Amino acid sequence: MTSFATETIGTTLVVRPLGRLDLVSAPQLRDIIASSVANGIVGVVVDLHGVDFMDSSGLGAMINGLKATRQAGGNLRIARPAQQALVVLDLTMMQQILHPYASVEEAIAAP
Amino acid sequence: MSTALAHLRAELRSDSAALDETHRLIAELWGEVPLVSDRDRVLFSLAVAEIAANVIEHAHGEGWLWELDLSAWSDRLEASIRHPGPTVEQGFDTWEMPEELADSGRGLALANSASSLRYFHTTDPEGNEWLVVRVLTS
Repeated sequence: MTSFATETIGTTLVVRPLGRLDLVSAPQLRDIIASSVANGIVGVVVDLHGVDFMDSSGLGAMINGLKATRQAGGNLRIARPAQQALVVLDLTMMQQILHPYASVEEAIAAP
Repeated sequence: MSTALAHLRAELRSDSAALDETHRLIAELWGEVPLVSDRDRVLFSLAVAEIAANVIEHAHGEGWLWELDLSAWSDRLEASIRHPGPTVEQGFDTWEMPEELADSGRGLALANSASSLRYFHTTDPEGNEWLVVRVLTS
């Protein structure tokens, strides 16, 4: 069962999934990001350190969040992906769009 | 000559618990064949889990029973996923990634990138079979 911890740092929402980010848990991530945007927090960082498996649904939830935050004038960034998530980003050629930052702080500070 | 090393099988329902069971069966396979490299494990697991998720998603809560068959050979890993339901209506030789900001539609292309993927439709009651093959790199 995947859990999600959230923390607001400055004007950025940091989401920390723990477990698998897949078909089952991806809708939760979409909802968390949509709720954040609806509440006016349009900067989101997804900290992937606790994600031991990510599939195309997990990636899709982050792309959905990327579009939602950008449409509201913000952005979504990802930080600390494990090797498995990096493989998914690589195979889907998404590393240019979802650049993996080495730390949450770096992701928050990115232009 | 290829040698069979391990063979595991499960009959699953098309619900979210089946994804847990899929990952559990894959982990059990790694216990049987500890020398498989991390990269081969990651890529094979990804392909199998993508197909399992695809089956569950397209069952639309109809409670399909489907079969997951995993086998390890001296030169490759194989998964056979057999499920009822309608034929997948697209080309069965190539699976392309959607446009870059699409938030769905990558599963089959990702599975095929991670391991080779074949799809068969039969007229027997089990209906469809996905075959995932990962040729071992070491």
